Amino acid sequence: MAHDFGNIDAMIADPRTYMDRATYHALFAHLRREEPVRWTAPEGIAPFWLVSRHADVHSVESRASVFLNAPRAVMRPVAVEEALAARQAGHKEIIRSMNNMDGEEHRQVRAITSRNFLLPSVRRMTDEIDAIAQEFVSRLIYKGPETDFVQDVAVWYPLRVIMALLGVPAGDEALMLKLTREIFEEKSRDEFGKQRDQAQLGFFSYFRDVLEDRRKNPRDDLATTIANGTVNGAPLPEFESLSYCLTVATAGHDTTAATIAGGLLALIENPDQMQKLRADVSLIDSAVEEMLRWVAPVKHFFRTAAEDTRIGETAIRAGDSVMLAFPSPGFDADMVEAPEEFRVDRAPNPHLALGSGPHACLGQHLARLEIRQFFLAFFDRIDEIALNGTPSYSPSSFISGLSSLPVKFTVK
Amino acid sequence: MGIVKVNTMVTFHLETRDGTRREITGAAGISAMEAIRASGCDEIAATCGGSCSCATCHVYLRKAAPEFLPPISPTEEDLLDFAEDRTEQSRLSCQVILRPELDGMEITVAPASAF
Ligand code: HEM
Ligand code: FES
Repeated sequence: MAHDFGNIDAMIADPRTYMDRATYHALFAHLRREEPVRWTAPEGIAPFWLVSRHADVHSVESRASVFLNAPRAVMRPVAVEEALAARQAGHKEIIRSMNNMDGEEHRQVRAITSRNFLLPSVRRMTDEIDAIAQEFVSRLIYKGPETDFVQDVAVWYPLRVIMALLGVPAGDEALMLKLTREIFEEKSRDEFGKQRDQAQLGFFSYFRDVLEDRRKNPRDDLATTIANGTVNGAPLPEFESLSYCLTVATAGHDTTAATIAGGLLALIENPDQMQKLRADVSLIDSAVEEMLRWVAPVKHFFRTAAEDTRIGETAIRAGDSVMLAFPSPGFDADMVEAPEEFRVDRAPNPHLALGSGPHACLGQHLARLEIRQFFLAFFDRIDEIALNGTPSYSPSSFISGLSSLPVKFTVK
Repeated sequence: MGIVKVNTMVTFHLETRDGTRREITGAAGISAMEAIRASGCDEIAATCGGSCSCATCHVYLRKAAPEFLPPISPTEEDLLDFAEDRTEQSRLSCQVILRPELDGMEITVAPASAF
C-alpha cells in the first residue's frame, strides 16, 4: 500500500491536514509502520521528533522526569515564539499553566483544583450534569427537525458545564466561545499565532477582573479556588493564575463538544452500532471510550528531552523536542483490534486521547460524564437521526473537530 | 570518571486479588502502576492514566523503606480518603515511582472501590 504523501513535514504543519480525517489517518498509519519516530522539520517551525506508535507515546508520557512539558507545548512558527519570548521574559508559550510545568511545581499547581476533578468528586455531579444534558437535548428538539448539531447544540452544552464550574455567568458564554475559537483555530499559515495573541489578551483582561472579585467576594466556584491558589505557601503569580483560568476555560469545552459531535457522526455512519447502543444503554461507558478513541480532538502536545535517551530504537538528544500525536495510538493495530471499526462495546480500549502519566487530562472524568449523560438524554428523546448535508472540520493542528454537522431527526 | 548511565531495573512482588503471587520488574523512574500494567495484570484499571485522579490503582505496600517513597500528596490523600478498604499500607501505585532502593518490596492489589 505505497502511498506518496509528498511533503510530510508540510502536511504536519498544515492545519488543513487535520480537517481531512481520511488523509490524516492514512498518514499516521504510514508513519506508525514506516517512521514511528520521525524527525520532522516544517519550514519556519523548530524541528521535532514525531511519535505515533502506542508503545512510544505511552513510554514517553510515563518517563515524565526525562520528557518534560517545559518549555515547548504546541507547534507554532519560530517567529511567533520569538515575539512571545521577547515580551514574556523568554517564555515562548502564550500561557504558563500546569501544562507548561514539571515535577513538584506541576504537582502543586494541578493540586489547586484537582480535588474538584477527582473521579469520586465528579460522580457526585451526575444529577447536575444530567439536568444540563436534558436541557440541551430539549434545545436540540426546539431547533429541529433540521439543525446544525455542532453550532446549535454541541458547542454550548460543555461550555455551560465548565463555565458554571468556573463561575462565569451564562451571559458571557458567547464571548468565551469566540475567544476559545481564536485560540485554537488557524485561519492560514500567515495568521498562525496572531489571532491567538489577541485572544490571550481578551481572556486575560476578562479573568483579571473575575479573580480580583473572587479574592474579595469568595464563592463556591473554581475561579475562587484559583484566585486563592498557592504554590509553596505563596500566592500563584498573576500570569500563572490567569493562565490557569484560560486553560480551564478553553480545555474544557471544545474538546468535549468535538467528541460528542464526532461520536454522533460515528453512530450515524454506523447504524448497527447506533442500534446496538440504543438496544442496550448499559454499553454507554464503553461507547464513550470508543468516541474518545475515534474522535481524539487533541492532536498533539510536545515534550522536551531533559537528557540523552531513546524512544524505541531511536536515539534522542537532550534538548530535542518530541510531538506526541494523541489520536494515533488509538489506531495502532499492535494495541487495538480492528482499529478502523467503530465499536460501541470495544473492551479493552487503550486509546490515549486523554493522554497518560502525571499530565493526563485533568478534566477527563468530567468529560466522560458529560458525554455519557448527553447520549443518555439524547436516546431518551430522539428517535431517527440522519445526515442532512456535509459535515466539516475546523482547521487546527492542535485541537480540531467537527465545526458543522447538519442533521435531521424525529422525536419519540 | 564519568558515570555510565544504565537503565536500572527494579523487581518487586505482586499479589493479585485472587491471591496469586508473581515477580514484576520495571525500569527505575516509571511508576509501580505502569510496571504492573505492563506485566499484563489488568486488576489495576488505572482509569486516569496515572494522573492521581481515579484511585483505581489502590494497592497495599509492604517492605518498602518509607524514605524512598514519594510522600503522600494532598491529592493522593483526598483520593485514599474516598477509598473503602484503606489501611496504613495504602498507596496509589501510580504515585509510587520505582527506584533501586525499593527492590524487593511487596505490593498487594486492594479490593476494587465503588465510589
Ligand atoms: C473529550 C474531552 C477532552 C479531551 C479529549 C482532552 C484531552 C486532553 C489531553 C490529550 C491532554 C494532555 C494530556 C497529556 O499531556 O498527557 C489534556 C490535558 C488537560 N486537560 Fe483535557 N481533554 C478533554 C476535556 C477536558 C476538560 C473537560 C477539562 C476541564 C477542566 C480539561 C482540562 C485539561 C487540563 C487542565 C489539562 C492539563 C493537565 C496537565 O498538564 O497536568 N480537559 N486534555
Ligand atoms: S491510576 Fe488513577 S489514581 Fe492512580
